[in-house]
Amino acid sequence: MYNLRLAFKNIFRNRTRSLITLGAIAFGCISLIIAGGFMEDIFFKLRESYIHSFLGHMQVYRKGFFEKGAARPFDFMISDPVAVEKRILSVEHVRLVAPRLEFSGLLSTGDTTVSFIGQGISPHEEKELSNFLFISSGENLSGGDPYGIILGKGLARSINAKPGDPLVILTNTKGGAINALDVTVKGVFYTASKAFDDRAVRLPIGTAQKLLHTDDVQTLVVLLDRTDNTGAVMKNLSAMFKKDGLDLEIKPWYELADFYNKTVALYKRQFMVLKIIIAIVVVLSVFNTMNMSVLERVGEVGTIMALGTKKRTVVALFITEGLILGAIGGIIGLAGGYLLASVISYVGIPMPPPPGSTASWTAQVKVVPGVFLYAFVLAIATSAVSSFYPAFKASRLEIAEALRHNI
Amino acid sequence: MKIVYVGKVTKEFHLGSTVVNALRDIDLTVESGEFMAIAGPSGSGKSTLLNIIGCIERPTSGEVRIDGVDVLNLSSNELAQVRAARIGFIFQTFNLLPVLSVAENVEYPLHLKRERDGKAGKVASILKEVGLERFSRHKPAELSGGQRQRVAIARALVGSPSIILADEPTANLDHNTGTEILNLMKGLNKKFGTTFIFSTHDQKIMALADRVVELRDGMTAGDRCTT
Repeated sequence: MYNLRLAFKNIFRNRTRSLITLGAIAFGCISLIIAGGFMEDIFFKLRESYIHSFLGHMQVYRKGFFEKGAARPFDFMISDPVAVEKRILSVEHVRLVAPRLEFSGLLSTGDTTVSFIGQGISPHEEKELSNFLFISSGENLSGGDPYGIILGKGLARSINAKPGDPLVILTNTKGGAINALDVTVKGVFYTASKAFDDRAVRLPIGTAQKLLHTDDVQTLVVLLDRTDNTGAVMKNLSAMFKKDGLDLEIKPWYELADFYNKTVALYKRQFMVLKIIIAIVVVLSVFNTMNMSVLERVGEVGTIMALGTKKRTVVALFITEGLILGAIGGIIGLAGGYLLASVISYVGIPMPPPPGSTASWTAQVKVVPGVFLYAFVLAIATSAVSSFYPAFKASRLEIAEALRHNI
Repeated sequence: MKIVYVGKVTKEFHLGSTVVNALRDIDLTVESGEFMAIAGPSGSGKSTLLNIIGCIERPTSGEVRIDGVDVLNLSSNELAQVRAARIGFIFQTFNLLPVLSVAENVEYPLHLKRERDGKAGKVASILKEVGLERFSRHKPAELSGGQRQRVAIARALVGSPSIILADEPTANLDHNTGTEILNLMKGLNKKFGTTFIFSTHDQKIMALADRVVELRDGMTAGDRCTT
């Protein structure tokens, strides 16, 4: 307690220097909090965008579809999808289940024909699942119009189609025959993924099943109340499928969102570089302060050692001073970081569309307890580490020699 | 009772290739309760001898016992313990910790001795002895030289050490204040029976000591009792 009091008083003997050091530590913390919170906000929005645009929190397939479904999409269909949907909906935290039937084919205006990827969807469920799917013209699918379809913005532009235009869909049925269907463009949409918008067509699942001559679906997209419940629901669903003898597999959103995973890895690496730079700034700043402090207090160190203070206590005294500097600087940094994060989040940062997307968005700085804790621990740890050498140097002073320096 | 025994002590300093003999074959015995001066001109080895008795420096050869403890075989931690428990120091430049108040400076040796109870009472009592009870909350910078040296005396005495070593305690004070300080030390020596060993080159100050050991060129040049 006495040493702590002494350390505390020593810190503020040279107020200007200590304030500059505290400023450097606080600046480091604020930078980490803002950069980390901004990044977390990007991760969060990107993640939710992917989940609500098309991935859902998890997707249920017939076993083998995920591996081989691209080549043989109709060999791995879920039979009696309505019954399976009901079973999934009985699990806690599941908000809705949306069946999908994907196929590819040709889309023709009469003059122009292009290939497309079709998604037979349930309009009612997808409205809630596709929060990040925006209609740019016309209207979204509804249950009342079985032959209305919506097109991705890029695809619509490529064939110069607009709402109300008649089109013809041509595709292979499940059995391999060729089937065609007259449809009408109901609307044009865009999502966070430009690649998707360039090729996608959405139509009511009943119409898709009719076109493909099947009652089955390939995918059941599951949406939960919260993303954090993904793991728990997956576990419960797997147990249920096993118990019911259903030959189904589940893929969570994070295994499906490859772009998201790569973005997170890239940002985290950049953030690591920032962390290292900030740690170096704090280390140099505290080291300079502590080193100056030792040089100024040679006579004083000699005195306390002559009075009977042990070397390790001298080390502890200087490290405690470093720790206090780190803790005060850290607390100022956390408060400043929180304040700045709140202001930035209130104002918002206008962001251009992310790679592969067409929609711009507003970024915020998320207040993440983990980032705050990290910034605080970094402030204290780097301050303690950078105090170590000056502290060690002080403890190695020859007492008689040190006493020749005036206090 | 012998409180200090110094036998055949030599101390050499190496300045580049030159060897300086600061002390040569010094023999000294100090009895408990003595009020003794080590006198001699600058460079005679007074401070070095005090540092060796104070366990701050190790001699090149010889034997040193403090309060019966052979201090030459002790580690640096053990020497720190001996200093904290048995020796009080008074310095020429007072050497008070500037960030601490008078009372906190005086409390420092009690903290080193890990005393838990009655610290405030001991500090107040010793400050009263040196006439500074009204200044306990002052910082050293707010005191005069004589007052600062009184604080240093209180700090040296508060832990009830066996010996108090004072290296030129009056050198930075005017003559009257120096005499006052020496008289205060002498009074405390009589009252508490604490052994005082101080160095000086001032003849008038020397005259206040009960015993004067004179050093010249690192050797004992005289040892006389003045009472």
